[in-house]
Amino acid sequence: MATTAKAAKPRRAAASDVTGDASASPAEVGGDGASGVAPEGVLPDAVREEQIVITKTVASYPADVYSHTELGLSKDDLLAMYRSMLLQRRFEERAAQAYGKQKIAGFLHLYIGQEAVSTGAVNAIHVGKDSVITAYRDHGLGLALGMTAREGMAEMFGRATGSSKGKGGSMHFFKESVGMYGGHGIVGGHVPVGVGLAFAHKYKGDGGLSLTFLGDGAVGQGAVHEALNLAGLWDCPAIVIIENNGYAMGTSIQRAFSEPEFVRLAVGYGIDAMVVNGMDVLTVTKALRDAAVLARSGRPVLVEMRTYRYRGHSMSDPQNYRTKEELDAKKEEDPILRLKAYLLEHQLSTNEVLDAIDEEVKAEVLDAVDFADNSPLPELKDAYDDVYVQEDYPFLK
Amino acid sequence: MPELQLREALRAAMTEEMERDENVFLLGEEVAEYNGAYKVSEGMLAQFGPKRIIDTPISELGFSGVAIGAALKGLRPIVEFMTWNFAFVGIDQIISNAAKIRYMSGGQLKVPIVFRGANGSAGQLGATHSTSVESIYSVFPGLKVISVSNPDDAYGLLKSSIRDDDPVIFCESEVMFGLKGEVELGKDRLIPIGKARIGREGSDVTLVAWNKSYWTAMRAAEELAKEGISAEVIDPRTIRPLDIDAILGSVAKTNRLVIVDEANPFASVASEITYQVQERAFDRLDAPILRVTSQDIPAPYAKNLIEAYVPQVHEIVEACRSVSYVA
Amino acid sequence: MAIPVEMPKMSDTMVEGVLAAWLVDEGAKVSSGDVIAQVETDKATMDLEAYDDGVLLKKMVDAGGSVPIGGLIAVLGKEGEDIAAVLAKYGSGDGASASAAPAKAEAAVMLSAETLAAAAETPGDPTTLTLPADGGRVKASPLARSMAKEMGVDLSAVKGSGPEGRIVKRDVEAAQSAPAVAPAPVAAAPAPPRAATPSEGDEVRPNSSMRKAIARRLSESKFSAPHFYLTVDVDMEAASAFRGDLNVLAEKQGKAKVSFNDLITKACAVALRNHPYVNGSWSADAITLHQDVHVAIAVAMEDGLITPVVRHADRKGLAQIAEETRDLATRARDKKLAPDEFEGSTFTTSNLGMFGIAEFTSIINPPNVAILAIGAIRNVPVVKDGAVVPGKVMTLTLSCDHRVVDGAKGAAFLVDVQKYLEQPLTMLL
Repeated sequence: MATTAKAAKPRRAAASDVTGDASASPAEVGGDGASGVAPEGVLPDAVREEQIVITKTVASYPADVYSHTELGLSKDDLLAMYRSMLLQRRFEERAAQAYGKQKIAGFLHLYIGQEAVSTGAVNAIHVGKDSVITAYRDHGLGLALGMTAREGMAEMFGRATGSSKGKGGSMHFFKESVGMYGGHGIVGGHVPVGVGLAFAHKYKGDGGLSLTFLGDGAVGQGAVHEALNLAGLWDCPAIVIIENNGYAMGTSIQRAFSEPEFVRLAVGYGIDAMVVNGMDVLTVTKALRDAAVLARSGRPVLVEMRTYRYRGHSMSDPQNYRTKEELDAKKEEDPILRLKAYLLEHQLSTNEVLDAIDEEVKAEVLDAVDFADNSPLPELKDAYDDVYVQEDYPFLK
Repeated sequence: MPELQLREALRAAMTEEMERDENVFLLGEEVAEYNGAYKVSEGMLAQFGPKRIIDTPISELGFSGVAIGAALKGLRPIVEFMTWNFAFVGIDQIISNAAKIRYMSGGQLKVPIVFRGANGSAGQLGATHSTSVESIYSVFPGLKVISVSNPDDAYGLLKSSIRDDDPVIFCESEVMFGLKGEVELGKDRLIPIGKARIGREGSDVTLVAWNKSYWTAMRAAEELAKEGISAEVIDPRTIRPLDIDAILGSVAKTNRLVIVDEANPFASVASEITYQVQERAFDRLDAPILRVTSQDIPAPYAKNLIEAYVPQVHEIVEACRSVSYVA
Repeated sequence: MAIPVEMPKMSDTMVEGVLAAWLVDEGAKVSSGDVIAQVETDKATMDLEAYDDGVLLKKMVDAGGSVPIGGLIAVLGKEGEDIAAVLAKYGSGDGASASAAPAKAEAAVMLSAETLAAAAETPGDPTTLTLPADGGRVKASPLARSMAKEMGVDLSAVKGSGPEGRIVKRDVEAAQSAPAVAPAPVAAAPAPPRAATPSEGDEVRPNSSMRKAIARRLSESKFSAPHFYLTVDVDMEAASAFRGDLNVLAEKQGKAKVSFNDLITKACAVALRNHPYVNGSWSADAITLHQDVHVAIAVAMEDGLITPVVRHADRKGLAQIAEETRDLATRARDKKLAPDEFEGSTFTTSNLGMFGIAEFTSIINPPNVAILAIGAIRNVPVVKDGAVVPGKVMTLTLSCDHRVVDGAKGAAFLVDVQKYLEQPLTMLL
């Protein structure tokens, strides 16, 4: 009976044109011989698509179709985006090296390959006024929002000069002044909090919105679904962005989800939805600007961002679940190389200028490593600070 | 002083704080149009409107998290759980987010929020609707835990909790919502968090009890008085941070301690109090510390079983006799 | 300067890595991000990436070799660059062993498989511990210990009244009034009044639990119950004759002989039926008037006394009272009474007549509200019908708790007892 029900679910190939093979075709889904066609007599003819009225839009945003001029971006804007993406990339490369040297401990989840998402998102919002929250793959977003390489690296080194004074670590980047609300470690658990940030913007009437980023693996968590329901129910100015990099740690989404086309979930919550190629920073910028307009008008949006993570889930991931060929093919879509090609093609910059930016960024990151390495460890006596606002809380010691 | 039911005292506290601060709002299941599952929020929708008195779907995980997010932005939500049992599906929000975000952010953020609801057994409700949660939440640094036994404490402590900048777990009781008592009303009538109250003075044995078990302990103290054993009853009111000094002061006088805790015995608040007292007042003890708790089983349904499950007056009396070396 | 490539930490639990395969030859150009080798960790086989651009100048370990974290694997640099400085920094050319030292300090805090194994072998695993024998240890509550220390009481000389002989607060307090041999510390705080200090040769006997019980109960009674005393003389001529006749019968029937004390027990029991207050007990809230009459009789023992109870004495015949009393007294002296045989009385008598005591007053035995002190039967001249004749007289003294028994009530009872004894047949009606 379960198989029948699953096969009977209507599936459409929508949005598969957006990023090519990152989306599953219906025939691949199910894996147990279910063909996607309802057995005879199970799905009565009476249930026809035209009888189901879907009132919300599902928009798709493919790569390589938006120009900087139509987005109103200047050459300097593009160079700033390029620099931001490179900074995220080089920062994480050095972080990986520092992890190997045991300067960074615990978990280290790299964002390399997904920089267009963070950078495009920041382009689309009012930094400082709007609120942003994400999961533990948080370095890229933190830097894109304006956290410094120094405070980020020092935090991962566990130093007093880190953004959380060494109490957070890699998974917990916070910076309230730029609206960075973490950096959270329980998969999916931060999504209701993200909707709560939007709720507060609405309650206060300050015109702000919240961006909540989550990985595709988090979609399996009930928290995400409760949050989407409340966002829709209460008309929160919330943009919930699923960064679909195709793998929940080592499990491909096809092996984890009954409905791997996440954008369809929006229908169940009566909210607007879009599917976006997350490997093109211009596409991301365009899509999330549109989403922001909707959100600020009280219409929450679910965004499925098709992207790719070049590195393992964490530093101890041997990545046996995907082939070298798949990885290499995806590197062709590298968002940094893509923007570089765009800049050169449109004669907005030269190799020399772009290389100089790279050198500058590398120096900035090395400086951050130096800074972190030479920063003091947190003092033991400060361990009890920042647990409570109450200053004289009587801890058991 | 006016005499109020416990539910009326809670309502008065919330209403006054909402009048005082625009950022305070109430959300939970049936709090608005239904006027409260236990009528705690009766009439509040009419006064404050749907923006501030918010009905939620049955979605404890979701609305707890939304409230925490709102608190991060400076709002001061009051989250009503119909009972604390239902919060278990949302407990990750309270533990991983409300309790820890401030620390993980290095003190950049705070979570001024109150989670409140009915706690413990309320008769034949079966295993899943009868949990006492104080010990569960008291484990976590970052949270404050309050458990009240009477309308006056409920009023003064809820006001303090709403004004507190840290997340507060506030435990009430279904069977006490109708309990009447004198309440000292006042716009700024705040009872400090972390201060115990002496419910009855005595000299022979110290009884520590809170929430509805406080009343069981008081009845036991009356019984004991007839036998010439004078029991001092202390209601800690706040479980975390615990006013251990008040308990130690009493034990210094009586040399004997019996703790009444409606939770299951293992790793209970009673266990923690026992540890702290033996550590700091070992030489004041004339007898082992005893505790009276619920039985070490899930709450049963049958009337006789559930009655025997929770702490009983005679059990407390016997424990007090035992530590007093009276046969 | 040439750039060292170190064995990176590739998982939380990794301590060293095995260089599984080289993917780049010496002399080859590498860029940041290139995979130059594969490393086997405790979890998986991982790619080893270069973090810098340059030429692979030297491999420091062959495939299959194991290198601790931080150990030197290879050297990168410009073509032809001198790598001596790097090698010197990492010790000899042998990366695998030479570089272990710097990594060690940091790795030391990590739990490794070896340290876990070592911990498991450590003797004294708590799960195998058994508690040592407890013989000879003085058991005392923590409070009792600290009090004893402060008061200079030697706990080894104190008998505990708590469970398993635990010495508790009250035991130390009792011991304090009969100090043990250890002198009190000079610096002791102002102490409560004490008994005379024992001098050399004095014998100090620790209190038995019975002594302590007597002390506690009787002081409580004497200090909390307001006592008053009523005294009456009873002419025992008739009782004497009556007893003589009874015992002739008893002897014939093989029954126990009746003593004067038995007669008094019976007289009291019958009188108590008509004087419920004297048969009552006191609590702060109420006076309880007991339905049943249970008369206790004080029995002297070697180190104290006990009060066995003749239950329902008002409903028992003299022979039965006699028999029970004899039995209770015998077993009391042998310490063989069960608790319910010396508890639950409603009235008590104490008789010192056998010692020739003419009269005395008793302390009420709580929870009773009265006690009768019985003196000796004396041969004294008495006035009968206007003439002085030899007579037998006994003095009875009733102690009453004024909270329950007022003077008139006590007097009425005592006069009834007197009447029953002076006309013994009436008590049989």
